[in-house]
Amino acid sequence: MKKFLFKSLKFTVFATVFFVLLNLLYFGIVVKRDHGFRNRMESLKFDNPDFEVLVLGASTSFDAFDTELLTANGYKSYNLAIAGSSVKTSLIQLREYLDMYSTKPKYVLFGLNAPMVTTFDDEYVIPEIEVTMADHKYCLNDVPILKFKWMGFELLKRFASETHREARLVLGQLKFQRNIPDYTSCVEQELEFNEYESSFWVGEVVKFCEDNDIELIIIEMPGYKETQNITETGLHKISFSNRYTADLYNYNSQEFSSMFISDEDWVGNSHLNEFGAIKFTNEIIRLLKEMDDQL
Amino acid sequence: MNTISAEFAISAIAAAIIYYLINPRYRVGFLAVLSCAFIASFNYLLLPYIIVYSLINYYIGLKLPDSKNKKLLYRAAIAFNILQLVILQYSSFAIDPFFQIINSSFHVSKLSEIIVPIGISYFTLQGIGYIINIKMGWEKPERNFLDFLLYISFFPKFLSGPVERSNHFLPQLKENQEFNESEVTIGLRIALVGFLKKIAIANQMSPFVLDTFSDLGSADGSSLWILMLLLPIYLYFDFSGYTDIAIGFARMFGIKLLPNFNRPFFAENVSTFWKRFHISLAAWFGDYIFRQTVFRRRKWGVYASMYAVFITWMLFGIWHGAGWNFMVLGLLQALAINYEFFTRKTRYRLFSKWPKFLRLWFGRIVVYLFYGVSLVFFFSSDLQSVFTFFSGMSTVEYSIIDVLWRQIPMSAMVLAALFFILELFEEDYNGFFEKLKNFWWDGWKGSRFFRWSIYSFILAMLFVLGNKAEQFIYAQF
Repeated sequence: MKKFLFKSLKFTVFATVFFVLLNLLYFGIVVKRDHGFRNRMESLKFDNPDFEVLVLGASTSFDAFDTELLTANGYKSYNLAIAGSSVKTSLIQLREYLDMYSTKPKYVLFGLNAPMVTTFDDEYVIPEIEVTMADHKYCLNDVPILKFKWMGFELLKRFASETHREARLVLGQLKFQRNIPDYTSCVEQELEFNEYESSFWVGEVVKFCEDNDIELIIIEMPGYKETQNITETGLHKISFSNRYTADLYNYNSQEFSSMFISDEDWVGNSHLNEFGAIKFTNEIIRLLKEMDDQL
Repeated sequence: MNTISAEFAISAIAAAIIYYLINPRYRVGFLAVLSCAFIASFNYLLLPYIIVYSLINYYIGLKLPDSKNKKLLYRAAIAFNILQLVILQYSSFAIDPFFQIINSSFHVSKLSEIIVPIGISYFTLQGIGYIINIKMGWEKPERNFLDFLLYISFFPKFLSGPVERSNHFLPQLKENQEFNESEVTIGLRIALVGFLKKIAIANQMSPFVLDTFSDLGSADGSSLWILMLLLPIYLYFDFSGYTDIAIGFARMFGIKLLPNFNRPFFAENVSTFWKRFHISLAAWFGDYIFRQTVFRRRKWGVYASMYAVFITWMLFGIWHGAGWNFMVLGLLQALAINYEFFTRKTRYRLFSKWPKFLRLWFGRIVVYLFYGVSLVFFFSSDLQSVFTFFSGMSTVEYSIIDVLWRQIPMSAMVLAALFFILELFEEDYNGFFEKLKNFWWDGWKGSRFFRWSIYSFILAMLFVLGNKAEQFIYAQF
């Protein structure tokens, strides 16, 4: 029995060391290979960035804003959006960016999807941002194989599927070529402005941009037909409880989104692929040029 | 206490250490107390119920061999066992409708809300099996009540089996259980594999399976096709995972439980399949229902078997639950087994010219598909849902590969494939499998380092994937 207990103790020590090494290795791999993490690490190491346009938001923005195309059209830009981001996370990223770098962006494009979230006021901060924030205090919950579990599954997908491997990260945008058609159907629904106007964190982003003289453009992102609405594309002026106002463009209107072709432009579940992103970004460029003319 | 949890595993290991430290005389008592505490952790009232249930069967078992009214006592014992099962498990189906007919608001099924009858289908079969063994003279009555109580309540098998036989379980308690390092480590390994099957495969598939079944009306045909093909794999890993945990932990205490699975998807026909899938239950029905029925109807000749097959499998179906869908599940198995029995010669003539490999795999695929179809009845809540399922399969909108890719975590698919590849080697390429075993155990210098790394990796996987433990399917019976 003693021999068995000693052997068990040896195995426990072995398993603990193995666990630590596994976590270190996993963390190293996700930092280097995961698109969201790479985006985050890249954004922390800019050398005097002079981006005129910054993109914020979650996965739909991560895929849809073609910052390479924006840059080629004279709007030097970077896509800070990361899959799963909450509005609070986006605000943290923007604050950090202004704290770290001296040049402010002229425009912030903030892509959101009212139908895809239950609220814009989620209090969580996505793990890639959380663990790399300057004041983050590490605890047991930060065990990488647990904290970044889903990244492992994403990496497995990329390991097994060529179509997943072909995704590229360019100036913060995640570019996919593959297509998953949109088989859903349109329904008659209005855009819920109240979801924006009642959101504390969206109001805080608006306030922060205005206080820092940044032109904020809130964009309701294009999505699958079932999420599209019959409200006009806009410009819509929305106001918040903190008395700030902002411009919102409803690019998820059926009118605007009719430009996207089901079996060409989508990469699945309301996310645009590279081709859809080009169409979408061309509209954004047109919008920015109009705004520049007005200024 | 949830069996699929770290706290259960740690408690069981700690209990095993204490078990071997205490005087061998008190070990059965210690396990009985542990099992009682385990049962009480689910429902306090269930514990006295189990004790009284065990006491009645124990007492009848003692009295039965020398009783003047042996037949009457035997029938009373069987009736008691079945009655308590019907009252606590099937009253909503078999008793309450009668009260509704006479416009009474009395519901016997309310009793099962007070005494939550967890594990009742299993311990009832064990109780009946014991009584039949005594009556037939296959076993002597158990004189030690603690031993008998442990036979009924032993915690690793209490929730979902294996369905133990008293003449297999009780003699093990009489042996002096010396600490045996090899047995304990074998037990731990089996339990680890069980956790891997349950947490890393079955639990990963369960959101797709359970969500689709909860809203069959809106599921598209591609999902339903995938689901039907996936159900046997899902149930296998769910249930065999649980069984491995039960067998593994029991083995740590020096008790060998009956096997429950033996590479079932490599069976070439339905009759063989049921000798490999849920073996302990199918064997129980085979020994105590099928054989007894055939014996009683032996004058009918070959039709006695046909009749017995129908009776056995209908009861097998009903054992799973109070519903017509479960009856159809049993009926399907009975039809298939009878079909195989009566067409044996014709099929032999038809297929004997086929190459062995083709014949083998054709049989395996047909059995798998047949079981997939059967499980639609198993997982559906009623026959209406079964109809919705099969009619929904005709409207395929999305690519089946796409659905598979999006809905089922790849890690689960890869692990399931690995298990099946190993089973294939063991089944069809035994020589190679032996080489693999040698490689695993002793083939080279760093084999222990390699093994420990794999075990550690599995533990890490369980840590990551096991955050949301889910109940196993067969716990509801």
